[in-house]
Formats: sequence, structure tokens, C-alpha cells
Amino acid sequence: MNGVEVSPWTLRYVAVAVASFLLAQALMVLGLSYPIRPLAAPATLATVHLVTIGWLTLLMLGVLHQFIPVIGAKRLHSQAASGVTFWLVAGGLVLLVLGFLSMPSLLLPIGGTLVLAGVLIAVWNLGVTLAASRPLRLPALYVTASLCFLTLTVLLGVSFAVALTLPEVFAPATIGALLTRGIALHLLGGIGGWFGLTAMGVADRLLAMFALAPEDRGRARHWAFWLVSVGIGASWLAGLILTLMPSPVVQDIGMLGWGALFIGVALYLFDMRELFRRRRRRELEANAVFGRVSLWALGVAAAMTAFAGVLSQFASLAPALVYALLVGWLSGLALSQLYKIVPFLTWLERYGKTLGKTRVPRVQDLVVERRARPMFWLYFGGAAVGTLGMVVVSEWLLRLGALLTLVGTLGIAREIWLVRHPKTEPVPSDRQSA
Amino acid sequence: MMEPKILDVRADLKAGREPLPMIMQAVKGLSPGQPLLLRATFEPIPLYRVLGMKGYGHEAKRIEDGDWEILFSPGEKRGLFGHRSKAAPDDDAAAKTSAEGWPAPVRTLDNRGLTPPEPMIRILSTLEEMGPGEVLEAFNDREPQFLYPELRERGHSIHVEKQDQGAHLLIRHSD
Repeated sequence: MNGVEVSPWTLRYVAVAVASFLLAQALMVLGLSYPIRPLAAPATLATVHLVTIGWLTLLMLGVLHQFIPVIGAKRLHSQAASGVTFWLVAGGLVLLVLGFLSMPSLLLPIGGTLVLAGVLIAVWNLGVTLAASRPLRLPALYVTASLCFLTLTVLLGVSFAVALTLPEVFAPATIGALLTRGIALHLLGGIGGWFGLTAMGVADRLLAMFALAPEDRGRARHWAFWLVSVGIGASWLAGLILTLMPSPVVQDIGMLGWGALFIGVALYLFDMRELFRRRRRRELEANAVFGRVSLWALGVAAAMTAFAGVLSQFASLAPALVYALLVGWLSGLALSQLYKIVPFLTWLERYGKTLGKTRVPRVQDLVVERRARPMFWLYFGGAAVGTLGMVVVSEWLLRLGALLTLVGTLGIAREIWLVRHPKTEPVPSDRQSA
Repeated sequence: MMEPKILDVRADLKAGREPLPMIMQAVKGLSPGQPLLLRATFEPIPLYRVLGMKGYGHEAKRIEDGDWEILFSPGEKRGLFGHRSKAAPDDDAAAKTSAEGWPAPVRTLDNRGLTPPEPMIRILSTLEEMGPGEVLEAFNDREPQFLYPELRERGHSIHVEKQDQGAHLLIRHSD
């Protein structure tokens, strides 16, 4: 009898991730990043990487070390390796942030290498677990693809760190290409490939599971995955080839890839609408309600992309697009799912042994949604204000948006903290948990 | 084709007796390759799944008085919803536990359509009410991964049959 154990590391990843996100938002409120500072300013880069590595990467890695065993019905290959990844990525992040703030500094390539080492261990650890659980179902396919993009993105990141601090390693032309087209690949692979595909796969499973929606929702569900992952892969590869040599054919393939990605996202949103439409649970819990709101943010980002394409304004709308994706969709989804994952794991840890023998509280008795829901609205309101601030390049709107998301995140983090550290013991509610 | 064994449960159904133990008993008594011909007052759709998982296909037809006659013949293994079971590589020690020689289930839980962790709570609560060696059967939407460590802790054994759209569990109470 195997079964999956609760990972002792997941909640540590979550704690450092939430702390990084709070710090990054505080820096934005203080005006220490774009648009008050330039996009490539040290403080902006430090803030962005607190969000991307500290918050989203640590969070997703922590969750995947629990999620992949559960969806694949296979034990995690190594819990110890999960701990090593945690320390390497968290330690690397600290050096990276200090490195950005003292650019050019050797701390950048050192920190980057630590993050890379942690990520490679995670990819190996999770990859072996995935391989043991073949044949892979759709959520596992999403995660497999996303782990490939994670590796590529971090490899590129380390190359930037080396190019910035030890330029003699590369030919001057390579540095030029790296720091222009390379950055675009870093963004595409990181946001679309790593965060995007992970978020899509995890949401496909978690939202269906907790909203009681069927898995056989039709072809769109599968087409969405293939179009998005192959689309990102094709535009990524095309971008890489184009840094080495100009080729109109490859450029066309790249454009096709973007097209496939766009259609894939549209199909995904359609499928998610089906998921909610065909659910059997009428009253949704906060994780599903706000998971759905985060999908609206993805929809808004997709609409912005279409709009930017029509007006040929892609370059000027790109910062707003990135903000809508990172803060609205990905972080919003992450917060909403954490609000389910942490209570669930805590409940298992606390009551697993006595289940069936005594009446225990339900998972929902561990949370107070009445207090959490306004915090989520504050968060998403702030994300909308911040995105608008990015579109019109208004410093004050952006800072106001960041203040609202910061207060919202603090409120949600407090609720999650209280799940772990209740002031009073939760009691079984009247509704029997059966 | 081998001569089928005939089982008529119509009288039992009319008398309000639960036919499942009898049917399972009859299935157990079949010789290898032998079909079972079942007569009942209604079409026993849930049974298709249960016997499908044991590798029996079915052919149903209406007979006199609106009763049903179903021929269960051994052959291709079918999944919970009539699909062919995916031959998922199953090195789980859990799934390997053979349910052979276990008594027929005394309780059945349909946990489909419940959100986690409710299936797990129901299974563990039901087991507390059961006696040593008794078998509980459950239909779940998915394999209850977090249940296994609790069962192990309490000394119960489980046999899991993975389906395309769920899992069929047989859990034997510790002796």
C-alpha cells in the first residue's frame, strides 16, 4: 500500500514565497521600481525577480512537490532533494537580489548558479516521479512541459548574469543578442512556459476537483494544452534561431507559434468556462470563486494582446501585459489556490489520525471566508488598478494598485497564518462532514 | 461456448432480499470461462460495472413480464463505465494486494461527486463500524492518495482497481 505523504517542505516553500511577494509589493508601493525607475534599473530587476523567483517559482516548486505525487499516484522520488532545492533556490535568490542592487557584481552569476542547481535537482526529482506515473494525464502533461521551460528560462537567466558581470566569456555580438532577443525568450519561457503551463495544469485539476466538474469536457481541453505548449515552444525556438541568423521562414514559424499560443489560450478559457458551467457544486468556495476571477485577468491580458496586435502597439503595452499576467492571473490564482491547499494539508496533518474515530471539523471549518473574501476583492481590485497604471504609465495609479494588492495579500496571508496557528480550536460545524 | 450457470433472483428481489451477495457467490462458483445467465426484475446496471471489473462482458435482453435476462460472459476486461480498462502500469503495492479469497463486501459506498477529503472521511468512518475481516466496497472519482497511509496505520488492507473515470476500492477490515 503506497499512497502519498504530506511533503514536509511544501509549507516552507509557501512561507518564503509569500514573504518575497509581500516584500516585492512593498518595494513597488515605495516607488523603488518601474515605472518610476527604468525597466532595466537594478531595483526594478530586484523587484521583478522577487516576484518571479521568490514568489512564483518557489511557490510552484513547493506545490508541485506535493501535486505531482498526488496526480500521478506515485511517491515523490526524494523528499530530501526537495529540501535541497528549497535551500538552493531561496539562497540563490538572496544573492541575486543583492547582486542586482550592486550591479555589476559576481553575486549575480553565483546566485544564478545556485538557483539553476536547485532547479535542475527539482526537475530531476519531479521528472523521475512523473516518469514513474506514466501514462500521463493532461495536468501531468502540462507540468512536464512547464518543467522544460523552467530549465530553459533559468539557463538563459544565468547566461545574462554571466554576460553582465564577466563579459569576456562571450563574443560581443552574442552579448548584444542575449540582452535583446534573449530577454524576450526569458520572458516568454518564464511567464508563458514555466508559470503559465504550470498554472493551467494545476487549475485544470484543482478547480475541477473542488467545483465537482467533469474531466471529459470535450476536445477544447486537450487542444488548449497542445496549442499553448507547442505554440510557446515554436516561438521560443524560432526566437533562438533568429538570434543566430536571420531567416524569413523561421520568423514565419515564430509568428505561427504566437498564433497557436493565442488560440490555445482562447480555447483554454473556453474550456474553463465549460468547467464552471458544468460543475455539480452550485455554491463555490473562495478558492474556486477567486480562481475564476484570476482567469478573467488572463482573459483581459489576452484581449490586451489582441488589441496591441491590431494597433501594432505591442512594445508599449508589453509592461502592462506582463503586469496583468503576473499580478492578476498568476499571483491571483496562486493566492486563491493557497487558500485551499494550506487548509487541506493542515487538516490532514491535524486530524488524519483520528478520522472516523471522533467527529472532526471540516476543512472549511479551518477558514473564515467571510473575512478572506473582501481581502481577495481588494487584491484583484488592486491588480486592475495597477494594470491600468501600466497602460497609461501613471506612477500614482501603479503605486495605488500595489498598495491595494499589498493590503489584500497581507489579509490573505493573515488568514492562512491563522489556519496554521488558530487562536481557538476549530470545532466541528453542525453539518456533518460526510 | 460453455453452458452458462443460471441464477434467478426475481423471487429474492420481490421478497426484498439483497441479491448482490448471492450473485457474487455465484460468480465465484463459476468455472474458468463459464458465463452466468442472470434473471432479474430490472436491468441491474450497477452490476455491469462490478462484474465488468472482474472481466465479464454483458448482453441484456427483456424477457416476459418486463423482466430482464443478462448473459455475463468472461472476456475483455471493462472499466467502470464500460470502457476498456487502461493497462496502467501498476507497481503500487496497494493495487497488487489481491482481493482473491476476500468475502463479499458487506457495505458499499458511492463516493463519486464528493469533494476531497469527504470520500476519505466516509470510508474511515464506515470502517470504524465494521467488524474484523469484513470488506467495504467503494466507488471513488479518483484514487484517494491520502487515505492509504491512514489505512496502513490502522492495519486495514486495500485492493484498488483504477478506472478511466475513477477507482473501485475494496477494503478489508484488519483482523
